[in-house]
Amino acid sequence: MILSDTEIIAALENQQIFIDPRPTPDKITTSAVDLTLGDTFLKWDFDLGSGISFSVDPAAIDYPQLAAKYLKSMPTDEHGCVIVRKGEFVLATTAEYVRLPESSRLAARVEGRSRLARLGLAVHLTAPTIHSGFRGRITLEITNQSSLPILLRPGSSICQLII
Amino acid sequence: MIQRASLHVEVADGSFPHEKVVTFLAGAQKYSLFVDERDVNGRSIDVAVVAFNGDSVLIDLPSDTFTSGSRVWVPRTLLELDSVAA
Repeated sequence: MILSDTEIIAALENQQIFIDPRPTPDKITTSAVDLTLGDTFLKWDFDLGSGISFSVDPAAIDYPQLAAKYLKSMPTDEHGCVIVRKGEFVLATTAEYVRLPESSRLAARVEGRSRLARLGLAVHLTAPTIHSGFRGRITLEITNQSSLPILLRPGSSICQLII
Repeated sequence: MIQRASLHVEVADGSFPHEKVVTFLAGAQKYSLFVDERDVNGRSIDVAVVAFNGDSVLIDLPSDTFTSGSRVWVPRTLLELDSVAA
């Protein structure tokens, strides 16, 4: 079952879903909530120099330690924007904090927007499910799959939450 | 009614400015996960209690750990149980 717009509004009113800041009415579509882009952009930087071999074992890594060492903030322009070039991988989050209380028994999926997909921009990598009980800003794994450089602007509509 | 509990954790800065890394030991297993800073209360985070088995408690964390999912067994000694509904 997917919640419709009226059911999403009722769920927000009844605190079965919590989104902060609360989406304005124009951000709620017939069957989804539009979420916007946060203002921090991170990128893996594994430039170790020549002759150094390095690989990651997902089953054994200490992710926070790896991230602290190799995940770098991307510089932004005067408007807080970054440009994602062909093949680049960028981590960002939604500007909104989302909570799906366990008691609501609601889960969600984060999906891209078709207008962004047409440009070649993907906003998640195989991890779209937001489980019941989740709390936090949703991490976006952004990739540019076209040859066109794409500007990411904080506060712009970036994805939709289907509940 | 879903029972809640506070899970004792170590807290460090996360990758994003609004994020913290919380870490705890459940026996020999070390778990880490990112949580929003607003969900950290000093050195604990709020979790949902799913089941009990002797001195172990199955809990739901607010997001996935890096070594498993969001549902893990922890020693009861790591928790302060309460009975407030979610």
